Amino acid sequence: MSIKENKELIRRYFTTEPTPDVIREIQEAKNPTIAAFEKFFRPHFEGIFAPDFILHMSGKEENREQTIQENLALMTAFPDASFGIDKMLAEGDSVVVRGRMLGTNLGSYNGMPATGKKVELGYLIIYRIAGGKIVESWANMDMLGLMQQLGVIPKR
Amino acid sequence: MSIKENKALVRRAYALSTLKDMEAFFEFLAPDYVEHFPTGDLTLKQLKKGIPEFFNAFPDIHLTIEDMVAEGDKVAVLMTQRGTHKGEYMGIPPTGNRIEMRNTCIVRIANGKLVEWWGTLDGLSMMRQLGVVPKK
Repeated sequence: MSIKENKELIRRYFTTEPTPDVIREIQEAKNPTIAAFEKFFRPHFEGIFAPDFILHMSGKEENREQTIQENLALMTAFPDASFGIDKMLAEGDSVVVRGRMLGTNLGSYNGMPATGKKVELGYLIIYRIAGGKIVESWANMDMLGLMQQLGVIPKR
Repeated sequence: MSIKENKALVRRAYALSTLKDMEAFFEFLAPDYVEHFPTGDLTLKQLKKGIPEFFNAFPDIHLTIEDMVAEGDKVAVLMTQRGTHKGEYMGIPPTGNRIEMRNTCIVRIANGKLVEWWGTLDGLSMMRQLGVVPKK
């Protein structure tokens, strides 16, 4: 795949929206957050991330299903979350994204009750692409900043 | 400058990112060098104060570049920093703990110097390793 195609794949991951049919299904569901996840996010994610995908984050490795569950936890805690791309670089089989998640803490996160606070979570992620799918990524997320914005950890 | 030259420049600069080579490291930064963090910006003047504090807290800190991705005038760097907490850091008294941090950044290069930096540090992991935040 060319660098241009690799960037397109990452853009597609970040920017694809559900179709009107799927949106209707989500709105009519008993639990719209879970419905959005299973009817849109999971198929979208599995179409872009390879089955043997590995995520490197905070000194740990996670497989594709674990990564999907991490995303579900974030989306449950911040149901209006949007994930932006501020900067993108690509070379060879790698694409780097620096961006921010914007969202409101309307759901429980990591066992902590919802705070209602608006947050901004910065991230810098390196994606490695092979065979038209993302096979590996190294992610840094400003989790300390998030915890401070939620009031869980004091700012120093 | 080519992508190859930009990567080589970043390698040379970050090899000097240690306590003893700090002054030589600063030579690689343009006068208007700025670091953009998720929470705000730091100027070179602020960094010339903050970086020595960091190196004095972790005097044996050593940076390993794991991977670089370069395009145009920018280089993205995946790096690991390893060191021992021997001095006070952000109000935390020395613990003697070994820390290992995976950090990522994007640097912009112009006229043979680093001019701009965007990064996200693994701050939460660092706080855990210093014993300030409980491990989950």
